[in-house]
Amino acid sequence: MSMIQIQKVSKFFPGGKSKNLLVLDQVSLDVPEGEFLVLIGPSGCGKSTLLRIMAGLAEPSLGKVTIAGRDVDGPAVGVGMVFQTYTSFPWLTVEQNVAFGLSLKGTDRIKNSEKVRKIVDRVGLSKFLAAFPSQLSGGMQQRVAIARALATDPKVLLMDEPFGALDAMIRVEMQAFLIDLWQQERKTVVFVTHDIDEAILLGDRIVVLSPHPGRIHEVLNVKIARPRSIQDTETSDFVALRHALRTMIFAMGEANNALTRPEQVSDCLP
Amino acid sequence: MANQIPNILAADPNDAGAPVTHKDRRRSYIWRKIFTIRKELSNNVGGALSLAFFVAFVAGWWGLASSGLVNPLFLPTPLEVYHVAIRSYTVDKLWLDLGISVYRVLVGFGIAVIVAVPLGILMGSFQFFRSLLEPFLAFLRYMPATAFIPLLVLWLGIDDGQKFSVIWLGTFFHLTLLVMTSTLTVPLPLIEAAMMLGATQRQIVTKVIWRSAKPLIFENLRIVLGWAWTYIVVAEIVAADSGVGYQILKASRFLDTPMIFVGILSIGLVGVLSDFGFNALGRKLFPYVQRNRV
Repeated sequence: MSMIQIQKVSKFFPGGKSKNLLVLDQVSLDVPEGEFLVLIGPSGCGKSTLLRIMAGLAEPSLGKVTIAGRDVDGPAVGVGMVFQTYTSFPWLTVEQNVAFGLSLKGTDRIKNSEKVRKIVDRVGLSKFLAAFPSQLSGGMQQRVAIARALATDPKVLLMDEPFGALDAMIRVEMQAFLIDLWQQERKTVVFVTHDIDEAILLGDRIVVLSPHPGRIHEVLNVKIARPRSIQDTETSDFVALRHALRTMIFAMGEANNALTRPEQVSDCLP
Repeated sequence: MANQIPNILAADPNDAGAPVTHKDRRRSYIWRKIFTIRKELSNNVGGALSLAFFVAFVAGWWGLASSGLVNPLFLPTPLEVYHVAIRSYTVDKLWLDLGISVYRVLVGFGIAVIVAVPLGILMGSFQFFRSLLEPFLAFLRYMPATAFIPLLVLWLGIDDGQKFSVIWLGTFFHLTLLVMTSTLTVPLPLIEAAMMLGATQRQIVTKVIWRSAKPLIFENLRIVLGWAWTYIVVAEIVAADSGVGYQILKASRFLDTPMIFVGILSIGLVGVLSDFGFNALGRKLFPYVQRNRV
């Protein structure tokens, strides 16, 4: 059964000179329950916009998205999101940050704190329960953000380049962490990235979007066996897939550079 | 840093052509130690500089006052001012007037804060309130509060009500706009993260926007409180029968220049103390805010 259905979603931003800027053009996609789906594509392909539409943070101009059978018309219960920028609340400790979603509901505090501790432990931050985000490294802050999203038991986890701001070493570490986490939780995940290795390492399927306007260019099944690890990046299957993806995306980028006027690029940002 | 030495020496136009002597090198070393952009000085050096300026200022004042170049009627020496200060605070009970001024500032400013902070947060959170009120407030802000004093005297007399209103008028509009601006600096991703965690509109305002903007709003209060001190003195000079401003005016009528100095310095001191208080409280309230300077 599909958890997320994207039905002919188009998005345009009103542009100057009477021309609307088309960012997404009739994108349709089904995400089955428990799948790890990766959206990849060159900048301007609308991958973040598509994710924001799924989250209910942006409205589609045409078409609709349903999650677990319900139309998305705003941020919904059961959908968690992790952003690229650090969004931990700086005035709350790690524990309070993770408990934030639960505390909004006004549910039993003691029960919450047990749950929060379990999740904090799960992301490996038990020693930092009382720390403020400013005392944590970037990778740890993203762990807090993931833990905070998981605490509300979402069915779907949307991740918008969550490791994009991290340095290469930490990023690899976080990928391993996420693989491990997903292996146990089996949430439906939609993960936006522009890192090809990351896409292959994490995804069951990779949706390649082409830019201007954003369209689905190709959907690839990643047939590399799970559970995966960073060692898999050297296998021949992985290398072949990386080559294919890179060729595809770079070809798009070049075609795109030839076509794009500079003002369009900046317009594509959400 | 040691690795910058050759570049900086080469760039020094004074050194062009001439051989670099030991003395030159030493001078440029000290120069660089003190004047490097954004380089922090040690606490001792920094403190000594701050103190040095105060001392130099008082010495300059003293020198000028006792030089005979200025009529002592218009410029008393620091020592005279000190004596008058002691007398006015022990014998003449100037602290009563200071207390009255402080009371007026606290009430007038307090009322401004109670209205301005919630309004500023609403304006910073909802475009509706921003569109409704911002242009109006921006317009009112440019009408000088001091120009309202004659009108307020007619309406309210010269009682405390008039003082409160002057301070309120002088601080409220600016404060509302400052709080709005501070509220607008709350990063949108924080708000969106809260939305995704199921926060209602109300919870976003109280648990995210207010909490996030609080340190900045606190800073806004600190700055605007300083203006309140200006307005109270103006209001008291124009129409009052008590308060430090009134005492300053009275001293002026009797050509009591040292007393004028005492009044001005008193206000200055109270202002500095309230500033210190605000800073200390801020550090206590917002330990998570990283600050490199006060």
